Amino acid sequence: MRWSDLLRMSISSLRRRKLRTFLTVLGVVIGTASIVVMISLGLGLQQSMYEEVEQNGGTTSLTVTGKTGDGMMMSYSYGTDGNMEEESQKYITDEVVEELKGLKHVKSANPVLNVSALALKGRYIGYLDLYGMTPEELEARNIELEPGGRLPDPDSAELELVFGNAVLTNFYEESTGRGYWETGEMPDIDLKTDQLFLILDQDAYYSAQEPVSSGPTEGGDGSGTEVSSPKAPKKYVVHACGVVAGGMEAYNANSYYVFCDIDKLRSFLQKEFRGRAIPGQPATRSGKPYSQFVYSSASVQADDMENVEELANTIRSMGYNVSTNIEYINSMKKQFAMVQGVLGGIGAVSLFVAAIGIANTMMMSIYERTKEIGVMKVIGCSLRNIREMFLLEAGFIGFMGGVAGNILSFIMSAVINILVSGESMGVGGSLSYIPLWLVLTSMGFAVLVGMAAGYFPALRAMKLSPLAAIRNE
Amino acid sequence: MKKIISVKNLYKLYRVGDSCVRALDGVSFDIREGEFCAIVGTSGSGKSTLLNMLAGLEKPTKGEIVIDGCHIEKLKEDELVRFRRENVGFVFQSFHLIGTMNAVENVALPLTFRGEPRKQRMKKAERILELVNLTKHRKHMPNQMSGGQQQRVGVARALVSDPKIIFADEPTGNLDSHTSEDVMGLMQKVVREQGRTLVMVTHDDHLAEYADRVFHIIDGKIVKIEEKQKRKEGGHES
Repeated sequence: MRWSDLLRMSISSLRRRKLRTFLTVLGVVIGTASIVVMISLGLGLQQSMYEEVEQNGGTTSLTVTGKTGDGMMMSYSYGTDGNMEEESQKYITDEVVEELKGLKHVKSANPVLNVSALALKGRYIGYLDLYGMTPEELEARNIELEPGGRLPDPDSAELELVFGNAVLTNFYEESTGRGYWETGEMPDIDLKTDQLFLILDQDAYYSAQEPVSSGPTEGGDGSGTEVSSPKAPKKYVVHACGVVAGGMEAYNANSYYVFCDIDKLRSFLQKEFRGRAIPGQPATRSGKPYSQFVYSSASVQADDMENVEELANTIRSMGYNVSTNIEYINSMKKQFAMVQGVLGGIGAVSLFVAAIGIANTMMMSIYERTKEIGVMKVIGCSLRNIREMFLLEAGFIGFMGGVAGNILSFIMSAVINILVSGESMGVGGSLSYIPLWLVLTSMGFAVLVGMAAGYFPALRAMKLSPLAAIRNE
Repeated sequence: MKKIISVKNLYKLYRVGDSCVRALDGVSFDIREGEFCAIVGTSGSGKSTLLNMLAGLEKPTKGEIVIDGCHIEKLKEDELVRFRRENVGFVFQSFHLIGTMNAVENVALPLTFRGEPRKQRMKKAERILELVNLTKHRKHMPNQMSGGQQQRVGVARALVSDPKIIFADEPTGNLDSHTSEDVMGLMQKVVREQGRTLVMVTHDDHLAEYADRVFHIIDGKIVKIEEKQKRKEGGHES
């Protein structure tokens, strides 16, 4: 028998009992739609996570930090006076960066210097989370700048800064101590054009302000280094060479940071803290600076996502702390797989119920058509054809349900996305995401379920005795 | 003439409760090619069982059936289906047309099972319908036709695949006497003109008059074989 004839016969017998077919298909529609929508929610979450990771430097980057108790990693605490002596401590120095560059699978390795600083502008004062990076590293970060902006020029004499789009929220009025978070008003500063005063030595600044006592001093540390002479720290005039794209509210991975060239930052720091320990730098017990300049971290790019873990282990065995996005991704992946499993499972239950419906419908259909099946067998319809006919019928129910279910899920997904984007939480992307493979898989799955549910009824039809048909009633 | 069906020592036993019923009790006979045979007996005489076994719908308990050189008692079910598809046409008592198909499609059904292309089988079916005088009704559904018309469609369906043998199980059982004559005349004509072998089961002696040979079967045994050499005339004189 030809496939076209099989198909024609199956469809015509489905059309014979339209209502029953419709109800059975409806079951599959609901089952498919619930699976697809559930999984699409999980995928949407995963998608937005990936986007975030991508903004954070992608999947191939590793951040290598030295192995100490504190100091290096915590940019806001400039108390390096706790633990400083051990020679066994691992610092990220130029040598180390060179060493990292020589490792297998490393595409590039660059030092990163992270310090916090104060910025003054008119009556405003603000905290800057200052990141010094090499030009290549800045390039690799894919920072999206407002039109007209550019990355810092390493050859410039000044310290050029790239401001995150939300940096201004960390500014407050010096006299009242009230900033954006209290007043809801943006400080009247245009980062793109205004010049700011940058203060690298915060301790000195606050010491100099001591009599004024500007509110609750940030980080009330009792570091007794500056007891001697509260001489005002040097204020550097800086200006921005670029601002990260996006308004004040738009959040991205670079929003709260300020970027600058690492060598510039380093030379400024060394100038400022000549003869003293630079905050964040390890010092010897006597308070003298460490013989070499120490960076906060090194940013390493692996050549391939596959090699990230191996590389991380290699660097760890060298005695450094490594954090990679891949570990984050892996753990998130596991979680998402579980979430999707649970969501998909809930959907699968309803598809399972639909499968029972299909089996029931097929059974009924076979009971009704016992005679017809028998006659076909007598006339010479092969057993295989009879089985195929019923499998096709069941599969077709599954297929129709799959198609309609997917259409329904697209509608539901669109509705969910519209509803959610109304109350946007600042999370980019959509909550529900239906990729093509999900459409195809769910369709195939629906057909498969239909055929599986129709298998035993079909087998039963195949085994019906032709005698039953021609026996006269 | 060549023997097309040869039955030897055929037994069929049914177990009913504790007792054993012999539906067929050692039946042997031959049917020649191009012959119109009638198997006549009262209900319960085993005539339908015999026909079912000839058509391979039932397995004999013992004995052998050779049709066209093929031992059909030894075939498996799917082989039997293929055998029927290629060699046998079937006419049923209650027509058994497929309710969702019109006359042509019903007639073309056996060809569908053979995998013939649609155009070709529709052409064949139309030709056969012409033969049974139903060209006018070719687009009618079974429930739009009278019993006689339906049975003629049934006969057409049995003929369309060009089978060597046609089995008919009480073909006129559900028809009134007038249409019965009609259908019988048609079947007789077809067998004579096309040289086919027809095996018919009936309980009606009168209908058996159309046949060339009549097997009388009582309690599972063939008790008498009547030869009617004077073909056409025989039908009305007796």
